[in-house]
Amino acid sequence: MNKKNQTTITDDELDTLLQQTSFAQVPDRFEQHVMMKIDALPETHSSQPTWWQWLALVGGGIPALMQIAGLVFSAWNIANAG
Amino acid sequence: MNNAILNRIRQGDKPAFSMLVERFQQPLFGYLGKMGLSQAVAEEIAQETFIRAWQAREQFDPERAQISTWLFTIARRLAINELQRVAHRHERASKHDGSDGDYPDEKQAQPSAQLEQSQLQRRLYQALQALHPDDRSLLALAYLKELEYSAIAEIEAIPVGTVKSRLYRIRQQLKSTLNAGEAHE
Repeated sequence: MNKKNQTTITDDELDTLLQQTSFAQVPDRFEQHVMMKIDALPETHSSQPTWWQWLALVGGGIPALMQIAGLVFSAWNIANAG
Repeated sequence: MNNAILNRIRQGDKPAFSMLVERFQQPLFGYLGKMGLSQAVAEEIAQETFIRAWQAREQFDPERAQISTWLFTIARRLAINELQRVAHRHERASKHDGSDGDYPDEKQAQPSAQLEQSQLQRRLYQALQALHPDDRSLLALAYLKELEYSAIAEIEAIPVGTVKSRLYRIRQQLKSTLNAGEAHE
């Protein structure tokens, strides 16, 4: 490998070269930079619904469904009366 | 990285996540560099990997995967997307001007042995550029010394046997490219 036109790269030399060579280095203060970016992210809310979210859904959903049912019943009642 | 720290990360503990960044920044840059990405692109992808990991922290399940496997899976997807995005542009640029991509400039006035090593590394960089992005990723993961074959197989979504056979073929291809380059010099 060291002399031109004389040797070729062996498996071991290739291994060493691949293990030792690093084409990208960790820049200074990379970790702090990443954490600053994370701090700057908008607050995300948990994707797992909590108990009070379920309660709000049910508490709002039931009256809404009852209103729709009332509307349908009224329409049916008017149609029958007419 | 123990489960207590991983649980803290899942709950949104930033100091714990900072420990994860510190632990994996070196292997991640090693991986991205060996994929033939420039320093600037490697920085961008490494940063994006950690940000995505933070954003998806609740989805990480330590019962199902190791944290390293999870991180490298994110990095691999980003790196391959980037390589595919610029592949055509790089190909055209290399054909037109004979350049070898974004290989960092060699330091001036190097001693002979250092210069030789530097030239060999430049040829390795060029040879890596000639590999398919999937092959580059597999090779880079294999030379990290961080991951076992089973973890590499999981990241690459292929069986362990395929990892070994593909790795053998890639190394032969790389060796052949490097030796062909040497013969031309």
